[in-house]
Amino acid sequence: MADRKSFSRYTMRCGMILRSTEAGRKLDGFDMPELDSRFLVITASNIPGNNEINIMGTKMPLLASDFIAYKGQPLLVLFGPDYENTELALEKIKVKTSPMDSKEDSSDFPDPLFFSWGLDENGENDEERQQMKKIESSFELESGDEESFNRFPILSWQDSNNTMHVECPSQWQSMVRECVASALNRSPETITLHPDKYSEKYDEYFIGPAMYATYTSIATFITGMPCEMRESCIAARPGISFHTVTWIDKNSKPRHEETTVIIDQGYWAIMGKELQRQIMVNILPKYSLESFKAMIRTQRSPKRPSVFCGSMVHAASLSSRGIHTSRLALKLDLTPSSFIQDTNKDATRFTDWAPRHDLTDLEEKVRRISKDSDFDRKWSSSALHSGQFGLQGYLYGIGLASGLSTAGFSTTTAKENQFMAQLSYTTKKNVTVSGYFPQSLSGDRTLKEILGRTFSATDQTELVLFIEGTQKAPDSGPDILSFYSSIFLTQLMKATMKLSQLTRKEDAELPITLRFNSQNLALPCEFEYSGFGTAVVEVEIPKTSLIPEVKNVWIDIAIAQPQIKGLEPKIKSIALVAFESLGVKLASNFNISVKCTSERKDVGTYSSVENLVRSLVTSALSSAFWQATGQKSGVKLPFGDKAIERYLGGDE
Amino acid sequence: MKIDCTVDGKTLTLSLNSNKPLSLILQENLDNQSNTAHCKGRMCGLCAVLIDGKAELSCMVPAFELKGRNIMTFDQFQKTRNMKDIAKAYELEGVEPCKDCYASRSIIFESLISSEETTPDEIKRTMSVVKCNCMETSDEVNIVTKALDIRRKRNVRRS
Repeated sequence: MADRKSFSRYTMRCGMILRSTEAGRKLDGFDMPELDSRFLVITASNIPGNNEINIMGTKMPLLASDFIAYKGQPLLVLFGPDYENTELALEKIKVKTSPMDSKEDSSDFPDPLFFSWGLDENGENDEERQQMKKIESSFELESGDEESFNRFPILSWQDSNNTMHVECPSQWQSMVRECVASALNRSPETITLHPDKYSEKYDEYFIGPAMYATYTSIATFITGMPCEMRESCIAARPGISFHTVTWIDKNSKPRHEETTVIIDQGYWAIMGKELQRQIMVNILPKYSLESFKAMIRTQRSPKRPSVFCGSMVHAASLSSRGIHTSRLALKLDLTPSSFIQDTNKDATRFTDWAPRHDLTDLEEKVRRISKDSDFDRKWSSSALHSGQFGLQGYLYGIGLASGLSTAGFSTTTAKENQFMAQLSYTTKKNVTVSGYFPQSLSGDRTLKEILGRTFSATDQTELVLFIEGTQKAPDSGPDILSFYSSIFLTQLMKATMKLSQLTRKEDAELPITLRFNSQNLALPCEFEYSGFGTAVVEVEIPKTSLIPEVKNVWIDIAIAQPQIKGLEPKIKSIALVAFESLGVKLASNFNISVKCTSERKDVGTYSSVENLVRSLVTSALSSAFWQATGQKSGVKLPFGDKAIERYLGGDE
Repeated sequence: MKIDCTVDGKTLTLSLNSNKPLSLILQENLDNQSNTAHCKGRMCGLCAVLIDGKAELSCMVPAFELKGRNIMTFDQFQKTRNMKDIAKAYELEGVEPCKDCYASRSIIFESLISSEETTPDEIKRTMSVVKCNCMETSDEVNIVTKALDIRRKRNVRRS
């Protein structure tokens, strides 16, 4: 590797960018001043390779070639002997533009996303709606861009082996390498990246470093000299406007609803479909409706392309929903909380609306079970019919529950599981961390690095990681959306800093323990189908003790993850823990049968087996228990393990 | 224009545009490692340097004002005994600035300590130039007070 420190300012070239001051114009060329051999001009026409940068599948030009898409778009890069001369020369370059035809760019742009249920054949319920009260609300997240306070040096140089070295602050190493390779028309193996110190704070600034690294590499490739740029990075966020209309009937119940969302991601929509999908998850109403229609449209605008701005988009779409709910409550003379409480009574769970999950198979199984099963004889002998209230005759029940498992970090899961983590500085001056850890952090290295950075400088602290429960987060999504891990690390770093400060106090009494929230409730929501499961629980209440006992349990799970080795004993243990926590005893002849199969081995997600099994056995048990205590009459269910296996196995 | 000045103990003759701000001179001409802020007038307060012992925002100082001045950046200041006093005060107070504003805040603290400024209102007013909100104003006052005590004791021992 070329020695980075051997560069001299006299043998380097310093680059500056000429950016557009107007958008939507045709670029005719440049009026160039006379520049001596110390200067190098890079325009779209003299890039050795492709004039494009690929950001997560969206291709954008490195430098404007035919037209100017947005204000601030790089048009030309000038490299000179120093920044002052370069700046002076850059001021003399004039851009020639002319009005552009109304021709649209033919690059990919996402189609609108629709989702609806309960609409009539025409797609509307106009006649019915005309007689109802209409309540509207709007919410807007304004688009904007922000420049970082700091300027980041981006440097490239070439060594004697013809390897291009690039130093830039980016964690997106492969993306930077591929962009540079594509612009130089070389293979990525000949590019060596030296990622500069990077902090998560600049996660949104990833387009800039990749572009600047490409410019410096092109200059180095042409001149053979080390080239440097110092640029601020810009984070642009999309503009999103929400408009929701709800029709309310005479009884003040919401009946129909329509939501229109318009996204302005700038001239290019980076991960546009993903953004639409995530907004859709958040704008679904939490109350029951007869019909619902949502349309999410991405429109092109002459603005800087905004990166996928995860947390803010989630927060905005959840806010739009919150605002609309408040508006509904206000119109109905209720407080928002009482409105939510009122509508939650008959709320439908999110999974019932989850798009693309076909429940036909499940419904068919339930129908067959119901058809062949008859518990009427049991209920007919009930003492309840004769007005004698008692448990006699209701001491036995079988409950069945089926459900889908979703992988991802859901708001529902977030509410049910408080992901608190704990950081302690013990009397032995060890640092321990306990809590749930995301899959990607299950190795101790990342955590030790973070803790080591703060503590190892002060004393010889031995870092000990104590991991509570499982090493997996109860819900984990695909790597690209693993918000949980980024939030966890941010919170951990803050807590580490705080703990470090507390331990340095003179009057500090050890051990010191800090609890911190390792999740962000405003960051939901990537759902993926990840499995299907069924649980059957047989409960009997002995006449002598009247304490419910579980006799037989059948659990059958088809999980969408490649590796299922060791899952069956784990499922058994989760079920037993669930029974214990629900206060039921296991009968002396207790038997549990677990069957676990893997489906869709190609997927890279990990399902939340814990949550799925726990919810299945809990609901199956409660169903069985309700039968046994006579609180739910008229339930028709099969009996016997063979019958159940026959139904679930799909044999007619 | 040619400007003679001292930066971090080195006497330099710089050939510069007369209106170039000191922050850019440090970054682009002198490759200063501690000064990377370039807020373009948004007043981030992260580019403070000591000019003749007094803290000033380097982006507000044009090149023509540097003639004959003595400039000390955090690159040099962090190696001095005075910085150790401030670091000790951070330790005693149990708080320290975040890595973004560490250099700038420390430089401004030094300016207050060297002028023996102990009025809380004046300390708060001076420190308000740093827009980073990682530190409470009460902590800033305590740090100045503690660092001043440490320095006085050190000076007494030396004498």
